Amino acid sequence: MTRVLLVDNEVDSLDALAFLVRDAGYSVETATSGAEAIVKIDRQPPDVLVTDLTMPSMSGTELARDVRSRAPRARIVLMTAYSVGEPPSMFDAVIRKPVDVAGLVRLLGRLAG
Amino acid sequence: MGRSDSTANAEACIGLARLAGALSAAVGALVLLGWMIGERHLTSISLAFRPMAPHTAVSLALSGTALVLLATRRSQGRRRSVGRALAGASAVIGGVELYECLSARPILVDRLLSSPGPHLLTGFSAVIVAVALLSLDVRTRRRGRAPAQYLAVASTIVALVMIAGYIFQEPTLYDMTLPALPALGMALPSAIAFALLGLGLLCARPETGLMTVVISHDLGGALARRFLLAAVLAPIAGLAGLAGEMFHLWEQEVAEALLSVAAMVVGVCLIVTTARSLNRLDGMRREALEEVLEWKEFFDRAAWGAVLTSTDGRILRANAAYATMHGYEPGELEPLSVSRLLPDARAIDLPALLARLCRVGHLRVEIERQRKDGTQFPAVVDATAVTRADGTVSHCVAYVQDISEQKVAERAQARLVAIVESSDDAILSSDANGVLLTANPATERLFGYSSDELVGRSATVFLPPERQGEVAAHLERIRRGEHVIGFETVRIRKDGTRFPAALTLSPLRDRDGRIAMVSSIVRDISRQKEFERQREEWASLVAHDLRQPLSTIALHTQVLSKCVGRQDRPSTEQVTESTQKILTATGRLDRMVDDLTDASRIEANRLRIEVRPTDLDALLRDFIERTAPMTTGRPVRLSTRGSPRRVGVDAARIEQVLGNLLSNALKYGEPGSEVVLDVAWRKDEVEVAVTNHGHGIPPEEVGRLFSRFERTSDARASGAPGLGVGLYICRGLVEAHGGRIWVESAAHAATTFHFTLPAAAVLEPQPSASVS
Repeated sequence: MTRVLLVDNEVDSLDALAFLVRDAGYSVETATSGAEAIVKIDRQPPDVLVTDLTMPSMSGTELARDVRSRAPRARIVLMTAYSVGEPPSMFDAVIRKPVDVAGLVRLLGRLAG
Repeated sequence: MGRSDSTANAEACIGLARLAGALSAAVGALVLLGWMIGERHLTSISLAFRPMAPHTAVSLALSGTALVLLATRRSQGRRRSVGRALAGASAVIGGVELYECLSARPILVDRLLSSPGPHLLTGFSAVIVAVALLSLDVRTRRRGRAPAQYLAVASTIVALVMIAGYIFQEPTLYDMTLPALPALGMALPSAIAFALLGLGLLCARPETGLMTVVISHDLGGALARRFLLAAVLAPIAGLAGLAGEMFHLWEQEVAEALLSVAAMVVGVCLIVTTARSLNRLDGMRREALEEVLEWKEFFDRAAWGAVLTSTDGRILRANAAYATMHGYEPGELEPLSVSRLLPDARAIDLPALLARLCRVGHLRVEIERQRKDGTQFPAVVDATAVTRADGTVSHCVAYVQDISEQKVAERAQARLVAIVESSDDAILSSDANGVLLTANPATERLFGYSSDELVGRSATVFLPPERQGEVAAHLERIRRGEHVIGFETVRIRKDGTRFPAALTLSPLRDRDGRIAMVSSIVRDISRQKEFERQREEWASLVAHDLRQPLSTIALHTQVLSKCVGRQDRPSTEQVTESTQKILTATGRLDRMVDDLTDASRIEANRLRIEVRPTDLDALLRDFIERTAPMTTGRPVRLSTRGSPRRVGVDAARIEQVLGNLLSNALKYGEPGSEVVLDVAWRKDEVEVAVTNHGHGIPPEEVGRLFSRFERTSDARASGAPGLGVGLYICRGLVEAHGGRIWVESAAHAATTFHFTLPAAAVLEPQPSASVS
């Protein structure tokens, strides 16, 4: 089963997103900060990391840079409410908030496959 | 001219004196000759009259010669000595005759020639004439009078009385005898000679005493000379009449008739010539008066103020313009001093100014003047000192021009210049081809070029290479008479840096309406552009922050839709949780929209507050109690100083401010640290301070904290949700209540937000007031 790690400091939306992705048939873990995510990645690297951009103490970009060295095989998706044109190079894909869950599930399927 | 006239008159007088002296000496000599050859006609002219005594003839010859010698402008040396010696000898002879008269002894010469005895008046006249000759140059000490002239007048009068006696054949006059006195009379030749000597004596020193009037060039002098001529002619005419009788040419009656006719003719001639002179003089006087009146008219009607003053500043005469400009009626100023027309006698030293004027002759000063009503005006005074023939200053003339209008124009001009000079915008002028003519100081600040560097250069110097075409395009529009207003572009400084600029160009027309110049105003819009950038950034932040709760709502709605129909326990729990989270997110969205609305109202100055008497102390306690669930683990302590009372505030708005400050304190304070609400009641205000311990706020951010679109670097980095308008709204609300808000913070220490509210005691419930 494809393992997905969702990182967002907005706990309320994180819970719902985790529920919905899990419901689509993925193994989902959540973290509310970069530090927590690294702990979980070190324990068991995910197949796909989905992270928010703006978070206290460690931003999504910093986390992605870190994860590239810790888990080189993990695919990283940036999830942001900002309007972003081209995604920074360390990201494999970008999705906009509010998240289109069906789109995210299709993206996860593509990245995992 | 007058001077040389009177000198000529004096010379003529002296000539007459010598002639008179020579004639009287000749008379004396002829009489002596008559006695020697025994010819009675020579000694007495007519045999009917008594002859002149030989000693009298000697005396007359001596006196006449003396007069010829002494009648000079400056009698001195030998001539004077001889003259005086002759006069002295004549005096001795006269004195001897007087003695003989009183002792009745004839002198030797007369006895030899068997001549008549001595005569008292002859002796008297001889002595007087001789004394007068000796004292010709004597002057009285006090008034400088000449006694000789009075003696001469006396002897002349005696001689004329005698002559009159002869002319009118009145022996009682010329051959007077009184009891107990010797003979008083005088021979005819003696009388004529003494009359001549008397007149000669008067003429001998014409520039002194009585004669100054006669020789003066004035009207009086001219008249005196004419009448004196008549006076001299009268006895001559009389003598001529007498001579005619003696030679039997006519009878006495005829002579008298002829005399009176001659007197009338002479009188008429005198009247006619005098009247003619007077008429000529009167004409000249009238012409002079007309000229004076013309000048007076010119003086009085002049547009500039003119004044004539004494050397000590007293106004002697001022024209109408001078009086009017100082608020006086014409003629009202004359007794006053110029100092009355100066604002402050201490500020302007009038005596010193007048002294300087007298010294240098002419002054031009700009001076403040004072009107009668005390108001002042600036004036230019052009003053001239008028000097007498001897170089001393007789009075001062000044022209005064009111330069108020000129000053007003100058001030208006200066104001315009000041506006241009002090403007923060670069203001330039160029000709119609874009060649720069002037540049204000802001141009130098903005572009880095000095004004001197710019004048004469093309306006293209300010354009980056890719925009060089703009100048030509703008000039084309200006030539069509159009204006360019607020054209946004980029300009380049001397150092090559660029800045966004707004350009306003206007055509400037000359008097003929042709477009001669272009005025350019260049405004640096960097700050405006920065503000716009901030605004865009802020809009994107707002969109981001609004999407967070929207995202939560959307996701939980999808979760709910998944749970529909499921009856298992996890699903029902998830439904409850999602519903709760949707409500929370909705609440958050609502608050954000409220904040945005408040912020835009504050910006537009349209925030309204409902002021009611409120128990602020109770409000604070209630607020802390209600917010307790939000602040778990973070103690909030309330401390109150002073005496709480009811104040007029909008309770909901004050709670909004408190909520904002408290949530900030919780958000940015150290976890677990205490938050303190300190309330200080003072006489006319209450101060609320909210303190937390945390990172603190960097000093460079403190100033911007209450502006719109500002979030501290800490807040941005935290990712903590916030629109950056909270403190902006707090400030707006506190200021709407008439209070102040500020912050004190030290890095890594306590941060305290203070706000005050006016705390005048409110007794009556007030109608709701709106403050905008």
